[in-house]
Amino acid sequence: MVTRRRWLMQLGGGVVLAGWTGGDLDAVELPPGVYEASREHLGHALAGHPVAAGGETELVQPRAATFQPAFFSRDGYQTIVGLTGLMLGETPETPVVREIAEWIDLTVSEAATVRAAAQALSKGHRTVAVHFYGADSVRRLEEFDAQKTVREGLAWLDAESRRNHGRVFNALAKPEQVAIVESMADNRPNRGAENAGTRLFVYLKERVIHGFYTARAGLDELGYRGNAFYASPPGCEHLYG
Amino acid sequence: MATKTYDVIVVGSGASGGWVAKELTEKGVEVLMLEAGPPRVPTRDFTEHIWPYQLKYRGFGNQKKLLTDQPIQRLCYACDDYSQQFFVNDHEHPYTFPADKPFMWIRGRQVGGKTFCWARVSYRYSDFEFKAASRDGYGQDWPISYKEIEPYYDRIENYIGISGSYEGLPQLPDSKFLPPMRLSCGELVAKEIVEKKFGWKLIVDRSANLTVPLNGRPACHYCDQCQRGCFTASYFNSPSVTLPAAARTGRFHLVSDAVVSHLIMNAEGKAAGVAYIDRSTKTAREVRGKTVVLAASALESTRILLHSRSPRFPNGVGNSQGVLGHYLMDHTTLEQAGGTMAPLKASVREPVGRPCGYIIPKYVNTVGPHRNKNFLRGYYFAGDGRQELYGHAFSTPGFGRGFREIVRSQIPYSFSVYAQGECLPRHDNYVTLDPEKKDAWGIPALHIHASYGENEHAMAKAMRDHLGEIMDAVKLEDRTPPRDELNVFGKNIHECGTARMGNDPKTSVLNAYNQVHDVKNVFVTDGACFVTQGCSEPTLTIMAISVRAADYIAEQFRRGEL
Repeated sequence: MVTRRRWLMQLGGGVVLAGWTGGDLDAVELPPGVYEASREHLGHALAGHPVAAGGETELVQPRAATFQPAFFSRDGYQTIVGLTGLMLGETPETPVVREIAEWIDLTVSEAATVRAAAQALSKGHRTVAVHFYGADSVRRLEEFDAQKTVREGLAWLDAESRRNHGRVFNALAKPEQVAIVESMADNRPNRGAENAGTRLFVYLKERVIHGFYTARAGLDELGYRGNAFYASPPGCEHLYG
Repeated sequence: MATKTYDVIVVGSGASGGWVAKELTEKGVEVLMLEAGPPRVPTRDFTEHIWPYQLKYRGFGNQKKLLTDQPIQRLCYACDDYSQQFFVNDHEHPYTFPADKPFMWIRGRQVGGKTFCWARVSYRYSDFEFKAASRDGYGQDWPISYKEIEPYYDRIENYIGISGSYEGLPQLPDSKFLPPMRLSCGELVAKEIVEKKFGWKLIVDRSANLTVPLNGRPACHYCDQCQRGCFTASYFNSPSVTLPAAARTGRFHLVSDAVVSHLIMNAEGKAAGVAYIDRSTKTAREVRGKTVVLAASALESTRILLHSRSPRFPNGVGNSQGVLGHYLMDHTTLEQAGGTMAPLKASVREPVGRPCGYIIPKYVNTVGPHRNKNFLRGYYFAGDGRQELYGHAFSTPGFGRGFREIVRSQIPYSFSVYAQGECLPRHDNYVTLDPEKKDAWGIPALHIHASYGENEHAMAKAMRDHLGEIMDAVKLEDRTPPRDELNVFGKNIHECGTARMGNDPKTSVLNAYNQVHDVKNVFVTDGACFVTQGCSEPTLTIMAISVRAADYIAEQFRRGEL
């Protein structure tokens, strides 16, 4: 693998582009929509500003100094940040925890409109979806209420905290918070019993997994070696070296 | 001012149209290409190296937008927040189907069509496909043989580049290959087992990705994000491979955002031009040409023919015998089978980025001892072997640092396998114009009437049995069986037929050179012309047939017969 920087430096004569003289050297005027590999394109891909204005791609916006949640109350969001941190074994101040919590707020805030959109599918579109995904998956999309799950889950969390410690979840010491989360986790002793807390755990864990392992920190931790620049096709390293 | 009359109007700018334009313009023919969609701009529309954390929805898609605007297109794996711009809005592009015959129609309208998002799998057909009817008595042969089309495969492959390994299989003829990509560790393990137990080869896929530089295009850099566009033009798509070649001739004219409605027919019963609607302004326009080539994708081309009604052609152009619209096909697949290979569980990551998988070519009812009289024709297997990225996290209990350490250090090795089989061409799988529904430009929508028949369901049973045997032999753990049901019709995006070729004008729409029997100056070069489909991906054959037809058209021009 070569780094992006090294790849950029080697344009025209390096490892990745060996044998390529550059399509832009003898470029002709091409009609809109027709293109050839060019240094302009390659440089753009490597420049860190990958999408020019006017495109349909929705990029994440720069994070505001003070995040205003779209769905959660101030306390509720603090709880989500805390739970995300506990699930990852990180402090609430860790940047990736904040990054994931903000994304969770976005997805929960839009969950009702997503469900409404699923319920509004035409009969024909729904039929195709059922044949594609299966009826259970389509029904879950139409019926699962993420906002209800987190609302009831957060209420359960505070009630359980008050019952055990006389304070809301956010006011507990970390060992106390961990003990409550352990009681709702998917490896708790009595896994047959479900409540609003266990349902919140299942939902939040799924969100945190997706959020963390699509974050730079999570991908680095996995040692992910894709979306890269290789000079030869990756294959079994045991055989091919 | 006199209206300009072009030599040839090509409708559609994808795999077929791109090749027709390249070949014709390089032979001195002036071409006007009409494309229904807009031009794509690499620096604006390509997303190949964007990381999920750079996207608002982290790669999971803006679900509300997808459900609202693209309720069908979103079902395609490539239609997400990276690539949804390459797929149509389903409300602007409606179609209908009977309640019990759902059809999934994936469409890409832009300069380049679906070649931005195709899976690049490139197999030659053989006479097991071209002459299938002669072997088993079902349906019709193609009016061409492998020998006749072989030089066109050669020409295409030498220009666009297909990576693969020479295997000498009669049922899957070798291409003019660039060096092959490499099998993964799990695939190498499976290869040894499958070849020993079944006598079937397991080989790395044949793909239209460059493994070495070719014709001014740099080799693939293996980021494995092809469906998001490719800045280095290292896989085949028409905007970066065939259309630039056409443009360099100075005889190529491209009009994008031109939604073709119908052919304009003259008093002699020949096409005089094409009527289209400006996509943005919805203004009706006409262009004139001596010859029209429809390469708008199988169902779109047929829709244009069906909509080209006149007193002389009351049922549409090419439909004097009522064959137009019939014999629709799409491959059958049994998917989602797989499991983990316990011996390959690891704590260290392997590199990923190979833009293809493996294939076990078709053997059943083809070559070797594997015969099954319960159905006609056959199927292949494909899939890939790779380390899980983070899918195992969902089945890992607990939370916190300990949970993360398990996910990081105990990496399962996944091996997937699916079967893809031939769909027989049947008269009762057909498309017509919907009498009421119209698209956003007022053009009648298609009504698609298609379902799998007894043969496909009998084949599916054999597929399922073999998938089980393969998973047993490879000793997969944590198995997922294949889906119970065949895929929804159209899901494979290999829809073919509806304007088939043939020697008999009574039973076919096109002759052996893709020329409409009824109207000599109209050609259809995309997948609509297919007579049978085999079990292999059709795009390479679409391109070969397009070049062959373009050669014929150019020769007819030279002789003054068009």
